[in-house]
Amino acid sequence: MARRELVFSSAGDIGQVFAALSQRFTVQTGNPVHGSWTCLDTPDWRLHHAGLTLRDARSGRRAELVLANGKSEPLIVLSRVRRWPARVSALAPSPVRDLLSGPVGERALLPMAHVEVRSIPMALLDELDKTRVRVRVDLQRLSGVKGAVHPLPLRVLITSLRGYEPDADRAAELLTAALPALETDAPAATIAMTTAGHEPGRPGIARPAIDARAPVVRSLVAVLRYQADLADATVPGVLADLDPEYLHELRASIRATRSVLRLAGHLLPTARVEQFQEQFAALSTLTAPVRDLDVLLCGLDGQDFGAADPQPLLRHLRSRRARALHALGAELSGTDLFGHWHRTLDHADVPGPRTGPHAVELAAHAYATVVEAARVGPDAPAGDLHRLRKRAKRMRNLLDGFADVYEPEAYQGVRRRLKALQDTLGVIQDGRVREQLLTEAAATLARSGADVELVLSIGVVRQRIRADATAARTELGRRLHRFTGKRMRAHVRALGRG
Amino acid sequence: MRVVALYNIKGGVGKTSTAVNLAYHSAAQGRRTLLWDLDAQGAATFILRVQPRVRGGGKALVRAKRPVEDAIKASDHEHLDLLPSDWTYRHLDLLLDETKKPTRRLARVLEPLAGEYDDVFLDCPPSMSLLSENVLRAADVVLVPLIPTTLSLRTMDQLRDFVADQPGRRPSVIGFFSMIDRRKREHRTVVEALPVERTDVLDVGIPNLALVEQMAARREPVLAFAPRSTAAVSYRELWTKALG
Repeated sequence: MARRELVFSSAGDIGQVFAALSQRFTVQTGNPVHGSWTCLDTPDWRLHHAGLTLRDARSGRRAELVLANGKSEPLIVLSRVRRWPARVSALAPSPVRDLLSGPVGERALLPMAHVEVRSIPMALLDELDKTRVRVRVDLQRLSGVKGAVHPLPLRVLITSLRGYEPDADRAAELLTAALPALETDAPAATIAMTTAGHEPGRPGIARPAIDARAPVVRSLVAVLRYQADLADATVPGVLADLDPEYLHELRASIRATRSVLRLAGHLLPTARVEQFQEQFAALSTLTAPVRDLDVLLCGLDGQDFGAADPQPLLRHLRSRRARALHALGAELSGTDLFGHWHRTLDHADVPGPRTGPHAVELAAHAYATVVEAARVGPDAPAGDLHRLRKRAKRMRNLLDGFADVYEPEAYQGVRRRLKALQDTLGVIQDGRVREQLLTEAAATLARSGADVELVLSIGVVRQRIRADATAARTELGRRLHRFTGKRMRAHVRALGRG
Repeated sequence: MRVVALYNIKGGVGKTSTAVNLAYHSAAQGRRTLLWDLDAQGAATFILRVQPRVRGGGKALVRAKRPVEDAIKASDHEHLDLLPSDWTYRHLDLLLDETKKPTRRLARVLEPLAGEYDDVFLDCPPSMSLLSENVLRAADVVLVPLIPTTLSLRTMDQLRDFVADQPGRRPSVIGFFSMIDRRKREHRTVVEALPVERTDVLDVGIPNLALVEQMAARREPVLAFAPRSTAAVSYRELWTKALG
């Protein structure tokens, strides 16, 4: 039984299908079947970028996940997820879950568009009332979107029966000749998401283009507004605890805001910058425990605990995380910090000097502060490395905010060395935090009479983390050398040639 | 792939109606099923609304001049395909006789379908001939519909001797009652006594009901148009005891 799918414009209807097929066959229709399907993707369109579409299709009590790549036959497995959003870990083990786990990672799968379907089965009979072809007409419309009804393309599935294949070809010809063609070859899921108002593949919040000739305050405000919008958009995901990436993105936006304010806040004509700086710092501090525990839990996923059962440790850490998240949620839901900040920025857009020279000057200053902090060398105490890391982050956020105005090659050269330095510093500092969290967890578990083997195995895991940090310290010397070297300095000087 | 033959030396004992209903039941359970209508009269083909014609005729099929796959037609029922009857089947014995290894042709014809079907039902014409030898070679199970009369025992014995005389692999031969008329004393007596006396006759039977005859008029299996009828229950019971 070969099955082919024909898709026509939403202007097509069941009457046209019936009329077209009746030219050659006796058309017998069955009872309509009602169903629905939901398009799923991550908030940052990871499936779309991987060339995949995922649908949760439901009819009666049956729920299926349909994963398609547009090239081969879709993979279909039973779905046990009752409500979306959900993470890949909530899916039952299956080839679909295996294929999704790579591109999706820890992100939540969100419902991007919900489509209601009325399927009408048809049998195309010959003069002896023998079924020659089976046809299913899917009348689809988008639901859950405010406003008018949104009809979607008319979908017709033609199933040829063995020994009667030419009849299926004839049915397809009749339909193609009679029904209005679809103007796009995009997959049904993409059409549904577009109709629902999404732009698959494009971020929900567009990064502003920075013009080197524009007044610097306008550019600065654009960068800060963008970060405020990004941060604001993550809050519902953090509160609902959809996935750890929402919090990570929130922290990244706060950090970017604080970095830009620290380096360039003096350019803003508002006296409230300092007050907001303090509030952002307080929020950042509040997010840290949850993020630290997320990083630790994620890292423990592949760790070997020997014969010990790691579940008591995981339960303990998750419980700590839940408490920290509760505290963060109470703060986040009780404030409109990003809204206030946005409104403050609305009054800050004033004419002034051009962006280009200022952005280059700020980058050079940021570089100088990192170099100054880097003098402590690779064996410096943790506090000094922490200071170095913070300065490196500030420089990175400034560079990324004003990336458009820098000379591209010089920008890439600076960014590459800066990122390498940040990565190494991250292994050292994150390792320290993870070690500390594990030490506290081991002490708590030991007090509560946990399995000795587990407590000992936590020590082994800590040793592994420390070994990674020690290796990173060795690497740090090289990174610092490259970062403060001649070529890096040349790249920094060349930033202004853009 | 399991090959089940509906076979009896006598005609009019319910082979076709049983073959059609068991094949339908097999398909309804999601098993990929093929029904081969070997009878030139084409009753099974008619019930399943397919034209009684095989491209190239029976000759091309048994001589492997045309692939068997090309002759198969889908029925109106999911998972159930038909290898239709053809008028040339009336000379099937002669056609088989003209081939090399004439007693193995049917089995050879079915070989390419091994991965494609879970169950193949052979609806055989009444005879004891070269075709019968082919059927016994090809089949894993031979189901023998027996009208519950004293002569049934004789039919069963004849068939058992015939199978015993065959060289090589032998199918299991299972008798069951067909066209039972409970108003007749002989039917009642035989239905009660025979399964007790013999292990090769099942304690299950298909009643002689007008509903079964209506299959030809409705051109559907009883299990499709009257799934809760006594006849349908009997066919399902036969499936369970003989093939389940």
